[in-house]
Amino acid sequence: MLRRLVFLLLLLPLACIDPYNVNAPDGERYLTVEGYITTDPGPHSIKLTRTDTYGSAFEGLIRPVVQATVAVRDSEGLVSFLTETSQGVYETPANFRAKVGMSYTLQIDLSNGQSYSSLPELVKAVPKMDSVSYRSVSVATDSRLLDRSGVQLTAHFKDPGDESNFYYWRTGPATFVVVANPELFTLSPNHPTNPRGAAPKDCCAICYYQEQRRVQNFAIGTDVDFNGLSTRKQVTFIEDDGLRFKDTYRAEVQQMAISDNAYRFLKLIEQQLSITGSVFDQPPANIRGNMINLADPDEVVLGYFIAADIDTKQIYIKRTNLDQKLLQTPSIIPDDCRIFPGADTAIPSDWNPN
Amino acid sequence: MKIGNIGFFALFMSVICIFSSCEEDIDVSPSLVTEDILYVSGERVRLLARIITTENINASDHGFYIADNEAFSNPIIVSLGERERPGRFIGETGELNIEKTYYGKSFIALNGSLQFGNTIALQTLSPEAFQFSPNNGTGGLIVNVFGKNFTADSKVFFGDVPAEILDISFESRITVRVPPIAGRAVVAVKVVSQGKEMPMITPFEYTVGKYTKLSNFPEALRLLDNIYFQQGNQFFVGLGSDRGLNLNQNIWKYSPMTAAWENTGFPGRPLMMSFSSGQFFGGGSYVLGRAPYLAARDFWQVTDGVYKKLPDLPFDRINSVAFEIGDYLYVVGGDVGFPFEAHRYQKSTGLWARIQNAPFSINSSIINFNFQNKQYFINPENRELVAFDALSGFWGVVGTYPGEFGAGAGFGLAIGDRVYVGMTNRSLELWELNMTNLNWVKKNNFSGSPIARNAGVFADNGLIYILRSPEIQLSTPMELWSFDPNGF
Repeated sequence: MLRRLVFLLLLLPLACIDPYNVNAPDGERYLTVEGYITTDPGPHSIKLTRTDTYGSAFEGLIRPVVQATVAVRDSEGLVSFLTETSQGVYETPANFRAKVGMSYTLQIDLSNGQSYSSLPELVKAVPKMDSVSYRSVSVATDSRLLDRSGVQLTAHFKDPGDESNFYYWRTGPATFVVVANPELFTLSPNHPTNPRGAAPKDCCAICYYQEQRRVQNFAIGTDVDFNGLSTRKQVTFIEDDGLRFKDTYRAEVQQMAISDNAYRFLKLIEQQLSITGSVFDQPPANIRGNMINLADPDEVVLGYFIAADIDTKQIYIKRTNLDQKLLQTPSIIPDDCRIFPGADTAIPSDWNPN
Repeated sequence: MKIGNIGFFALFMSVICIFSSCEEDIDVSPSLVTEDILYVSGERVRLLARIITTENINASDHGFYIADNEAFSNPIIVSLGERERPGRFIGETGELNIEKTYYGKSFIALNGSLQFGNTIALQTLSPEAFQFSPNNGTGGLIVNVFGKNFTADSKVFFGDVPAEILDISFESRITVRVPPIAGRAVVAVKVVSQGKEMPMITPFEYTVGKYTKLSNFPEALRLLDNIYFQQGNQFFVGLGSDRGLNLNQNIWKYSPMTAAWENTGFPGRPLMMSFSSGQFFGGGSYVLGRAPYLAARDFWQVTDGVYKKLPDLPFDRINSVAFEIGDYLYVVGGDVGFPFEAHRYQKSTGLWARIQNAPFSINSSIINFNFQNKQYFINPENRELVAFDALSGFWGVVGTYPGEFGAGAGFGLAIGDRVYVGMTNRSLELWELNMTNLNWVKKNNFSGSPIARNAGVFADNGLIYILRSPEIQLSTPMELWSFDPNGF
């Protein structure tokens, strides 16, 4: 009897399992606006895309928004139409430049009839940078044997005391000397007669390469702590990859004056980017930009249209002026330097390291 | 016992009183903020407001009051209807007057009463018209007028005639259809928005120009590779060949006064592909045929219809361009020797000198014209209009020719401050260049046959005279045409 009862009890936990199909709703495809205009001569570009659902893996593509009518309008009513130069990328006319003291709005009419407008962005004068300095730095990594190293750029400027200022620093296109060793060129391992044989080339050891990093570092600041004072601010870190600082590297630092709302937006972006997963992190937040759907003001539009005054300074970083102990082991290119994608032997017309 | 019951009752009531409380209703009336002016133009304003509350509202209406006074008497009410959720809303009106101060405030209608947000002031903007494009053409042409803050009632006038408005986009671009020409070829353009007139600096020029065939050439020949030049109101044309079959030794002259052709009795030998200017001609080939050329160095001067043979040229020149500026005759380029080569002949001394080369290859098929001591050339490779300054010897690019080149050999001729350029081989196009602002205006196409060449082009009394020599495959005679640039 007891044995039967045991068998009966063993049957009880058994059950059929119905698979549970998770039908996650499709995420909304938000309009995303990237770009800014400055007081520099144009063209300035605005990029329009639609987000796609993001889950355990990308389920779609981030699609450009094409055939939109995009215009920048100043506070006096002057409208500058942007031209779509590539899919989803709209550029201002080449002679367009923002003016200090004017407010600008970005207006977008999509092909589906939806209209969007930014909140007005006032362009305030940016204090000029007195100088840009640099120093070698080393950054600890997870590996105890291998540190990251590079160059830290610092902007020096005097903040005006009669107003609140909000700063935004970016780097422009950089150019550096690509040093190669064509005299070390060897033949292919599959060469029929002389595999790996020495075959020095006459040309070329020196090339110039313009680098435009796809993901940009940025820095922001407010004059709460230095209102009216001369100050300095670390604006970017350029990592030494073994090639950049073999000879001379030209960096371009852009200092912009932005609105308080733009500063708050970028501050939230910066906070979200710095989340590491620790308990001290900022909580994840839904960051709202300044673009509004005119028919539905509550629609989420990602991105922020910035209009800013800009000051740009270039600095030449020579290898001899860097701390040699903090430099990475130089990478060797045993070939013509022109094999480096994008490198050219022509000296840039504005190259003046002396 | 009774006392105990009373005590128990008192204790019970005390506990009830201690643990109970009155619940006070929380006032959840929403806050309303008129946040920003999203857009303001001449007649249009777009306002942004926000309802801030923690729960849904049941507003029977919401929107904005806009008025030209802070008391909001006689306001424009932008009603957006019922609203349940808090959040942002946008209201817009296009009923404002230009250049005026207004006040705006948001409102919500709750429980039969209106609640208003803060008031913000705004100034409507002033319309302006900057430019229009294109600035010439025929009636029916679509023209864009660029400016800012155009109002919906904007009108565009060509002279006194209003144009059909096709579109006003972003209040900054008015697309119109040009009305038909009415009495004048050049008309002022103005935009009127809410009664404000905005005249444009440049006028609109209708495509005009009237061609009239005057007569056939009295001789049967059809000139090719000939020379032509003008002295006063007398036109000279001749030499070259008859259709490339026979050399021609004659030079005729034509006077618009008498409308008659007359053989001038040229005493020299026949030449083809010679250069010619107002007083001089020479060079070319003395034998029929193409390269290799047998170059002639003959050099002639014509004064009051009298031919005088001058000392031979010190160089060979075939199909060169010649022009006179001041005391000098310039001979540039050609099909023999170096095509950039330029020479200068001083009339007073009779001396030749080599001068700075032209910046590009030049020959007689290049369109060129003289204007105010400068000779202008149109480079067929890039359409650049290049000016040669005889005083400094400097060649400089001053513009770009917008027309077609056809097979080359067009003409350029100045009348006053306008230059007429075009009618290249197989092309009927003619353009007018305003030398004061280098603006190009298209003229009516030539109404004659395109299968003919320009054997001579002259100007007199505001008219252009064109001698057209039909191509060899045709059997028609040469025709003399006049062109009135302002006729229509």
